[in-house]
Amino acid sequence: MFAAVKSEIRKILTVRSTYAILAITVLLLGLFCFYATGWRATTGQLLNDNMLKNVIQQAIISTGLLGSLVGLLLVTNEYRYNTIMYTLTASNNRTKSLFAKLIATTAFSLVFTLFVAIAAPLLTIAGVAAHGVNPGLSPQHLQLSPLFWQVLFVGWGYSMFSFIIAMILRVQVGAISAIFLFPAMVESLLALAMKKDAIYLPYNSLQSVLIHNDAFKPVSYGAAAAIATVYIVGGVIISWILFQKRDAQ
Amino acid sequence: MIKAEHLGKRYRKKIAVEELSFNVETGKVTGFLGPNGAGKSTTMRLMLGLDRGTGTTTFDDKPLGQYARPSQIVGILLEAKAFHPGRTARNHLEVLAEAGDIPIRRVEEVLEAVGLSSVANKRPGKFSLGMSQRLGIAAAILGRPKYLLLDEPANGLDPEGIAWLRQFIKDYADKGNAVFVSSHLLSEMAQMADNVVVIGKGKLIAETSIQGIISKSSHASVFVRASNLSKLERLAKQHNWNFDKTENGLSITGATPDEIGKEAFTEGIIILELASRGASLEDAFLELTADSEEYRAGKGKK
Repeated sequence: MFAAVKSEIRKILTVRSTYAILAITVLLLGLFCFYATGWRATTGQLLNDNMLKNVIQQAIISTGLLGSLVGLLLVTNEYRYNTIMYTLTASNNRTKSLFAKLIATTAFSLVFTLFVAIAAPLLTIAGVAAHGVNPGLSPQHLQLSPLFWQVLFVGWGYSMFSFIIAMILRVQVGAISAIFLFPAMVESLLALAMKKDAIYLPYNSLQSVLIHNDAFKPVSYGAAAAIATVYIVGGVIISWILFQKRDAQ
Repeated sequence: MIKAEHLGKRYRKKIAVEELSFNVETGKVTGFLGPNGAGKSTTMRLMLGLDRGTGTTTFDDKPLGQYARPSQIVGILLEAKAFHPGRTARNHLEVLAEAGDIPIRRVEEVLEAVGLSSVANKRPGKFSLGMSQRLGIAAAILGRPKYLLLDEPANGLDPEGIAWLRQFIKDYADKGNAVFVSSHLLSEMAQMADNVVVIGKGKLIAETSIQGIISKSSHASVFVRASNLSKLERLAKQHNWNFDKTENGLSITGATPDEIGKEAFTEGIIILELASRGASLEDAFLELTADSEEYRAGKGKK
């Protein structure tokens, strides 16, 4: 199992798409955190003691889908280029192969999320400092302990949703389209019908782990995480069943 | 030994492979022949557990799933271009080595063995088909497996590459390993295979040695030139041998040179020439699979 996980991590680190995604992430963070939020901050914004917390939350939600592409590509590339035959014949058990991919995706998503969570406020502070606005940023109220698990959970959750969609669809274009269309269109339309109960939709529940949305039924961050976890566990079980039953092509 | 038993695979209403059983012996090259669409690739995928179907395949009496490191038991080349085009050849092999718990230093050895050391750091997306096949072979032998399953490995190779592959496969089998190889190049197969498994429409047609399949062909004949041709004709009729008259002798089918020589001696016929004229593997193959061709070109229609 350990060998399979190492191999999956090597797969992630030896394709250009991983680095392209990281580069785009850095670019977006630079644009929105350094420039839009830090450099162009108004005095009113600088006095907000939740400014950096908001920056972190927005950065995680904005880049979550982008980071989750790495896990999605890890799965769909195997079918697109038919390397799945090597993956499966290197292991004596399909369950091990699936969980090796899941662990590698989890590891990458946690590192990616931590990177975003650290880079976003630092770039904002750098933007404020570079612009030289007086007075500078007021003392911040970060509540690091809850923010830490919330941020990691949401980053991981995005990756798991994309991973599950990739495992079910297996077709790269289809999976990429689905991860962007599902939260943007399907959930939005369902939310119109479900109103306050839209909190029970997958991406809505996941985002509610980090930011409360007044349009939905008020639930605690923990409850939102529990709802998202149900989707993730259910999705992984479906992926596992399909992975066991389907031909590897 | 690889033992495939009762392999079966169905795609909705179409039966791809049905009740297929055969053995692949160690120390030998076993050719896997069949017309297009006969189910060769599906059979190989079933043997490896890549496709879900019926039947079992054991490698030294154990299913592949019972080995801790299957890629050190079976090496595969099922598709030449099975690699991420943006990952370098070396990285591709390192990924496979890591997955199979094979030391990374083995990657350099296999790159050297297939002649790809100079392009190891290149991305294989633009490799020719021949280079891709070599990379596939490197991947197959990475874990020094006892068994090799190769699907059309000669596709895209130039004559030098084909000669190299033939020698490589024979040497690999000579070391006590087993190579199961499908190919459309029947002349190549005739030169390298010891045994053949022939399938058509997913069913077993023949499982025998190369010599066995050729000698059973109706194209195999014995040319006989004798002092008394009419006496020889009578002898052939007596024994129900089929024969054609040629300019200066008889071309006999249905008897071996030994049989003809013995009987002619008994009858007092002086044999001036006795030569076995074997059929080619192609003759034998076409004869065996005549009823199993799924895709056949029309005859002379314009």
